[in-house]
Amino acid sequence: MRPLLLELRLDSPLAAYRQIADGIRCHLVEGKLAPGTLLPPVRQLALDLGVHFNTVAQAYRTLADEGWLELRRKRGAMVVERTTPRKADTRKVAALTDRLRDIAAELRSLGVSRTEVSRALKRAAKPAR
Amino acid sequence: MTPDTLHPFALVLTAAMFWFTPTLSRPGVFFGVTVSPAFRETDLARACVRHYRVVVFLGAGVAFGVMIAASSPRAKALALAAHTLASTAMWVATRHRVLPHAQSPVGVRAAALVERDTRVPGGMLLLVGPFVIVGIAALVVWANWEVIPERFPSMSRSGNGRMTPKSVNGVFGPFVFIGALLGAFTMQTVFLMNRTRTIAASGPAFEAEARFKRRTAQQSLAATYLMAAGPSWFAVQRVLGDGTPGLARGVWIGVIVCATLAVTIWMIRVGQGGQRAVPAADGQAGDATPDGAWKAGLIYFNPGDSAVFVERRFGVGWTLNFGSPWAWVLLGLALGFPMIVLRLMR
Repeated sequence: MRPLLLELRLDSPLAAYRQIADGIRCHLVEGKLAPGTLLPPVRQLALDLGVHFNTVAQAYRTLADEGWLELRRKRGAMVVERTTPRKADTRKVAALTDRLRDIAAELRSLGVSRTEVSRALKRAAKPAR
Repeated sequence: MTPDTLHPFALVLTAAMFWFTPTLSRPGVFFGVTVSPAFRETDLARACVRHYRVVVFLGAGVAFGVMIAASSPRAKALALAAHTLASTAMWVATRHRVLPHAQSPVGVRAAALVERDTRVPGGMLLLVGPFVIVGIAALVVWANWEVIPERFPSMSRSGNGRMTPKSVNGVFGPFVFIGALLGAFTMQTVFLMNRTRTIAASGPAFEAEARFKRRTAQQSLAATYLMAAGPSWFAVQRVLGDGTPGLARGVWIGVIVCATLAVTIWMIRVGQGGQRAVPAADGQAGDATPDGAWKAGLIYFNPGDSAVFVERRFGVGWTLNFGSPWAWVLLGLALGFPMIVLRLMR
């Protein structure tokens, strides 16, 4: 069975820790990382991605603050069940909605039709748990 | 093995390594430069390999001639060193020829989200073994302090008539010396398992890489035992025996020669990272290190990389990331500390 992969784009304007956190979050909301799953230790992931240990540690901390992970000393992190949905941070929601609007606009400017954009957004939201 | 046979043996071994070096690297690395895997099949690439091998072959022939003609071991050693230098220089020159055809490394790095087995083969118990051997040898000497003669053969010139007076430094120095070298080798074994990157994230390339890493760690561990057993025995013999090199030394050298030969053949067979017999991983070009961090294609310096060891681009195996502070600790332990001990023994 192929293991779940995490990708880091070297030419992306997004900071490496954000890319790592975003990549893992995607797997989490799509249910590919079930509660109880152990993520690799910070050191291993940092070595494989060719980044500093602190970069991966920061990504793990971000996800732990969001309630997705429980950090373990020297053992990486464990995926936990998010029982109580957190109260939405309105400012953050507004910022992310803006990002979605930007992405939709970029897709439209690339020639993607309005229907296809809305279908893609629906597809992206569907597997979220 | 005498200098008459040792130097030609080493020459054949190094010449073979230099000869095969261009074909041993990963498909996306050619003379230390990240290229497209198809570049190897171009006329230019073939010409590069041909010219490089002509120099390696002719250099080995000249060095062999010098070894046959010269009688002094120093001249033989110089011939070996000159061949190594000339072949390395040719490798660096060929790298400069390839550099204009460099391809930027793949813009995506992938890592598996599962914990890998980074345990040292045999666990901590096997790692401690060599130190126990040296410790026992030192204890034997300590228990027989009274019977140690006032002067005994010196460590560096054992058998050549040079003597060392009986003192704590003179008697136990060699054990500390061996211990420091063992420390460096042990650190190397541990770092190979848990401070090196895995380049292919999945598939047969990943499996081959994991096998290669494990086998290399086993070899490093075996070398640690060889380093502990032989020199500890000789250090005991030096102060408690008659000090002359005996059958044990011959057996020890024979084992080292056979092991070196076996490892060289294995490395040529599997290639860098065990990738020779494995199809290239999807979209994988290079070895996940930036070309700019390689000095002359030989020395890797990248403080932003958390790896202590990275796959070397010249030959097979790993090299230190000189941008990591741990690399300097390792070097200090392997070179600096034994030098201090040798100085204290004088």
